[in-house]
Amino acid sequence: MARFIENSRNHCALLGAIQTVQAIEGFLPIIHSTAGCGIQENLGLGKNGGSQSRGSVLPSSNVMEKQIVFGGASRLREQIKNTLKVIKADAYVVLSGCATELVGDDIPAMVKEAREQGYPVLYLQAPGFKGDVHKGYEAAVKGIIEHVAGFTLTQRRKTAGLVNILGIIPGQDVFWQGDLLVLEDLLGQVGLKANTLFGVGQTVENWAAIPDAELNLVFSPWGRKAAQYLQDKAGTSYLELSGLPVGFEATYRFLQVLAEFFPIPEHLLQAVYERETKRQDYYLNRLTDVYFTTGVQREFAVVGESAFVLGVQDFLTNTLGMIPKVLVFTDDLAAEDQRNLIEKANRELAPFATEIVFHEDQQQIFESILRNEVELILGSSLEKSLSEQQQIPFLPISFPVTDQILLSRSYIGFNGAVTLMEDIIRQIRAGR
Amino acid sequence: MISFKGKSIPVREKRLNTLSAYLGSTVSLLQEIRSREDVKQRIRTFSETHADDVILALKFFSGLRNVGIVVHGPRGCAAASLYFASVRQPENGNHWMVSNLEERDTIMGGEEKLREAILALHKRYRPPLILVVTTPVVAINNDDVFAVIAELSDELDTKILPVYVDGFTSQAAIGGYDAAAYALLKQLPFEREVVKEKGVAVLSVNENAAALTEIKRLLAALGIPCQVLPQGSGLQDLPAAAGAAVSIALNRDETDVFGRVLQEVYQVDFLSVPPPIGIAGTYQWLAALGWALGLQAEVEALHAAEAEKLNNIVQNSSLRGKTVYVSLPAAIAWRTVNLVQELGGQVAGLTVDHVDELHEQELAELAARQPELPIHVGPGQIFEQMNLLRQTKPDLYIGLAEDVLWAAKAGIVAVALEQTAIFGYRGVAELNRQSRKAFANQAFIRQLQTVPELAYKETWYQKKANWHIKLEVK
Repeated sequence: MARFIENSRNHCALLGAIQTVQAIEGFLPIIHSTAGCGIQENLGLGKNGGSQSRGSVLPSSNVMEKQIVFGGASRLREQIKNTLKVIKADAYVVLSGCATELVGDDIPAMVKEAREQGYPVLYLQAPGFKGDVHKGYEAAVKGIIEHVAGFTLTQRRKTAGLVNILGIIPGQDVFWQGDLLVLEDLLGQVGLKANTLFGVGQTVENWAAIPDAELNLVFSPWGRKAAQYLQDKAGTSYLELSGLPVGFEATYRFLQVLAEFFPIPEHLLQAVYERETKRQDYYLNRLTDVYFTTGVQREFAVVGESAFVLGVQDFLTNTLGMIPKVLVFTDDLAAEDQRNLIEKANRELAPFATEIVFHEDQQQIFESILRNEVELILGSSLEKSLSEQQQIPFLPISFPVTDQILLSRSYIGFNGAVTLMEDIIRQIRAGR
Repeated sequence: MISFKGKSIPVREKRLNTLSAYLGSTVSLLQEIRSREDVKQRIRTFSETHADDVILALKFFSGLRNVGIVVHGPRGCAAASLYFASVRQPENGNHWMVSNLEERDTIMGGEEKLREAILALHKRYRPPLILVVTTPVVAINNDDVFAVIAELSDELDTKILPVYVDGFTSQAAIGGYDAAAYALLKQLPFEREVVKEKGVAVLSVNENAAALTEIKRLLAALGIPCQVLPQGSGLQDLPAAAGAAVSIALNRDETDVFGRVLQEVYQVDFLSVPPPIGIAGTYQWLAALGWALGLQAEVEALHAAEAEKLNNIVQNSSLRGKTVYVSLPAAIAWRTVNLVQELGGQVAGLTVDHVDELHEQELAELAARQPELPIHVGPGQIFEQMNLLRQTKPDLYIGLAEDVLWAAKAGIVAVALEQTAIFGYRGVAELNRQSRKAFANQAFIRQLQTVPELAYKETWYQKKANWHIKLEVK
């Protein structure tokens, strides 16, 4: 049973669903809940790194006492009808909050009515008491696929080289837009086409094309359910990666994994390898002086989403020669995922006796950082306060990021690693 | 008279006939507000999300010092606290917990989780004051919050106060400030012997540092010692309010309950005057204080000197001859309208978050000058504002950032008050400066016009902006 949380960073399923839906161009959430839920999303997520561009404010039924007592279904009917009249969208996604789910509004019936009239209205159940942002993402992605992709799937022709990207949560991964663009570029370099589904230029058409993909690439456990669903319904294989590729080694390995699935010409991979080794060698050579004068070899802590923490750790440990002291995974992983992760860490990080922590409660996180006496913290703005208090250099890499705007920044892939090196060393030098 | 008999204070609609949905002329709104019993509540058949009392209660408490706040509800109800905690000084020593109610708790009750959250907060930080803020789920499943608090109050050496907000009983989010102040003052008898001093309690919940600096400058110039409350206060600072000679509101909507309780329970005169914004507005605010403290001559002298310094700005104002749309919280809005007019601008339209009996005087002043000026009451209802902006086509839009961004997307030159310290005499110069900059280079606004259009349909712009505002059928 989940307990209280100090400074919760994972918010709730409704907020996760809202921001997931909003990250698709032309998709509009209709919140069926009390008035404040949409503002909680804006303040809790939008202003902390999850900001999305929008064409309107969020429509919301803003249920009042009357609807709590007598039911809010007719208010929802009215809200759906009028949203269709006031705001343009390719798809309207009704998201239910705690209050309306508790009182038992017949939301499916209201949505069905609109659909029967030919309007693209979907319903996703997302009350906050059902879980956190990750659950909201999971429900939204699977729900939208069910509705939009249309399932006479198994007969559909696959588009050669098309790959769906799953498991990168808009907003909760603060670099999501940049990461998706990097993946698109990387896949493009080996002749594949990424269907990134979220962010710039990603519309209902991308979602409709999901069943046509040859492969689903899953970058976190939060994309797994959708991938399994697509395997069952559309016969699409999926590949679950241990996380996002950070740095030369990891990125090259990632391309090699793709080459096991797709007929990527060997010379193409070889060309990428040669070009990027040269670049990496060049940059590492250039920073050597600073590496020693600044004292880059730090004992470090990484706090964040499992999909990214592992990648960052890998790069800092295996390329920059730093010492991983503690890794804090703040997404609420299933027991089996936790076990796998610990086994992996035991295998790969044995020489460092790295502490592995699964928690989202601030005090638990702070204590684990303090007890490891680290010299560098990579985490969220919540850890920044600890870093200031302890005078430890800090770099924001996870949600929430309250004092920056992250538009297309990314730390993954070949170039991301270079940016990450620049940023880490800047922070270390500034903190000397 | 505010009674402490209830669990919480009655909602604004009942207490002050507060309206959250309206579009019509100033004069008809004034008549309706004046009539008291004839105030008709309205609802929307299409609505956009807006703040609720839960969020504003959290905002209120985020401004205090050294308090523990337990949001008793599902995890998302504490989301806003992440923002409030980051914009307020992190070193204010507040600590936030959410009791994290899950589906099972919504059925079986969440009292045990609340108990655990309070105990953990106490054990970790020992805050002298713990505030338990309720949420929609708790109101629906009827958790016995009071029983948990009563029991723990006996066990723990700390004050624990329930704050009853639910997000659905009232449309007026500002009730969250009422509930917060009520909870704080109801449970906090200031036992210390009250020594009457000549100090002033400046009541503030929400004003930014620049606004407070200007107010402190003016009070210092008059030789008036002051303490800003409740913003920036901890439990130990609050009794000072009861010892003040008078209290005065910076935003009387937001501090209404606080000021009234000080007056009714602690005999501290509450000067419920409109905010010190604009030349005349600042003067009237200071004059009320001067009159109460016997400093009329000093106020006159200060005003003459400060107003003199603004002559040049008024003569060459960047607003001269411009039409302006003002969209702000009500108390601030009325005074900003006056300021715009002082600077030679003409108000084309006005959006406020609510209107009630507290605004009768300002409404009457406005109705005397511009009886037919349309007043739009619509917290967060951007679709209505977009419609009104299309009709009024103002040269400039003045609002809070969350609204300003939409005006800018619609191609209107805009000033966001977050970065503009509009209070006091310096606020006059500041608004002028920000407006001058906004007019001088409109490149960003033009740039925005090339990015994807607003999603509101053309057919919506053809309708009247009050199309979705209907009288509530009881």
